Amino acid sequence: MSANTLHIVSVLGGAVAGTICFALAMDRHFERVYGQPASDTTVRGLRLAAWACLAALLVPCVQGWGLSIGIIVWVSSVSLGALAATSLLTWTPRLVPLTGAVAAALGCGGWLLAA
Amino acid sequence: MTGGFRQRMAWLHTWVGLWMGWLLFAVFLTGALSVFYEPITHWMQPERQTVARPAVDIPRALANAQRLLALNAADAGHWQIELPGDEDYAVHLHYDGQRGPEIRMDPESGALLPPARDTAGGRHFVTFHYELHSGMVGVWIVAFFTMALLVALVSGIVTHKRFFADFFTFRPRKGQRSWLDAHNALGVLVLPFLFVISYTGLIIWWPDTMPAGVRMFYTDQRALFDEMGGAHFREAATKSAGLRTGALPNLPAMLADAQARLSRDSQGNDSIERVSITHPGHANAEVEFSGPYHYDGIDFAAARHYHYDAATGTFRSAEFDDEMVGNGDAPAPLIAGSVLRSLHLARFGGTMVDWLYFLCGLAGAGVMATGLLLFSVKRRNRKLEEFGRHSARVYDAIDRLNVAAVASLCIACICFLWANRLLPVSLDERHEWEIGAFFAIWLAAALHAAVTPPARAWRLQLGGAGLLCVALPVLNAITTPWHLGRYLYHADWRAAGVELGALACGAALLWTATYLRHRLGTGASAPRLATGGRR
Repeated sequence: MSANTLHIVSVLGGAVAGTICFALAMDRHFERVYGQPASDTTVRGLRLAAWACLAALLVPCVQGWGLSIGIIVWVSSVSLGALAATSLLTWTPRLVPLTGAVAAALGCGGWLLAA
Repeated sequence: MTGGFRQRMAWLHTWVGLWMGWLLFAVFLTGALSVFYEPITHWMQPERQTVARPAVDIPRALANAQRLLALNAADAGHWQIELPGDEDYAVHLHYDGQRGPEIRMDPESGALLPPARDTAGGRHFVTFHYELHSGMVGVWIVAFFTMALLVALVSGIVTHKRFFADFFTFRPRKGQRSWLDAHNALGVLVLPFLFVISYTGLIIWWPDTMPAGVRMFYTDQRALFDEMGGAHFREAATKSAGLRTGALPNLPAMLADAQARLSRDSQGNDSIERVSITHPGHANAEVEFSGPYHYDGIDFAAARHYHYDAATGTFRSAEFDDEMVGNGDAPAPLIAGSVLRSLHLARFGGTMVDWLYFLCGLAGAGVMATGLLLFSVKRRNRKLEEFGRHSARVYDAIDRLNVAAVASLCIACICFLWANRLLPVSLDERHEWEIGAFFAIWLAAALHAAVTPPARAWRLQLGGAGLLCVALPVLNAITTPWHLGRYLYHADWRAAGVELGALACGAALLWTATYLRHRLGTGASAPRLATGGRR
């Protein structure tokens, strides 16, 4: 796969993983997925993971598209990642953690292979 | 309009959203399709599609082209030779005073090829989304609606402030609640895109939407654009031709030099796109080699032009020009304008950015559509009586207009592609017929929506649009030598993409139509649906 394709995989994976973490950090969505409320530590951990994902996402964006275009790619892929997270929570809540993990793996893997 | 700040904003959002939403939906849907205008045009000209693209011997193609032009247009003041590119494997010839269909030439043999059909192409969607095919009046209308969109966005943030608590939440099959969720989720998640695209869309038209500054310092817009570099083009056109010598320039020799210069100026890309000859066959003839737009950064996207003395073949001058900011020494505000323009046009960043813009644009159209439906559903559940004793009739009319604005437009868009395949190829001014078909079908579908109960109209029209989308590959297979399998086999991703996109849209529309039918069929209470007519 070309570096460009790998950057795309990496960005989309990271965006989905990050927004899923954000969603799970909200009580309503956590309970829907796990059937029990989240502890404070878990919520803090998820928020931290979410911000870390989105921050790390900037790296493949800038590497793949340069700073100015990279920021646009970043903003719009986070938007679409959030739409994907919303759809997953609506129709397949049980698959959310697994999807998040796979997305994170794709995000990291794509970036490592592209580098 | 009473109550606190939030109520006032809700009032503003409701009414601006309603009156503006119908047209804004059309602008966003056609704007999203505009992202892929080039692949759509490619699909719409099957004559240009080919199975094999042999490497082109450019010097030979140039010699062939020049011979053909000398034979057919010896007296023209200007020739232009467009070299083979992504859009066509053939060479295209143009000259001053040219009439009739395009001139296509086989680059190897120099033989004339049959012209491709005259089509409005994907450009139709681009032009429609910013001027509704009605010139400056249309630009003003769309600009006004875009201003209204910015108002609706800001007031919408206040109105729907609960969306922070409802982030990532969509509760399907809950009537009004679902529409509100969808409207909020789509709206808030693509909010950055909506702001950027509407603001930059306005900025593109700054000389027209903010004319005061130009009026103050220049006699008219032309004086302004002359100062920005436009004068150069007019000077070149009025230069004297000199004595007639009949000699033609030695293009291949100049080509090599121009390619070397282009390659040096644009990081190794030496693909000359166009060769123009001014005053061919005369003593003062000049040759210009032009490269593609090269993105040095989004602030300056310039095309390179190299000028040569045709008689001696000596290099004269190089010119870098941006369609917005002239030759690069523009003042900062113009460059800022160019950046915003590039942001709107998404002409950078390749496939990924194209798809992000397309999906965000569709989501934007979704915000408008869900907002319109929300208005109707809400008023079916609660008696608001905003129009006094006429309320029931006005709400019913709004229901029908919703169908005409959303579902009927989907039909018109896909029928535009159908018209491209069904209208006779030899039709005079054929591209006008295609656009005429688009508007005629929109009008017909809107009339159908006006006389059909909305619940039925939604189902029929969305289902109809879906069927037309799904059948598009079939129509193509019947009317041209091409079909989806053949596109895929020859890795023609642009044409295949159009048909796969049509299939995906068709599936989504058909799903929506059967979902509505199923919901009505199971006896779900009509008020919970956007589709139940209110009588």
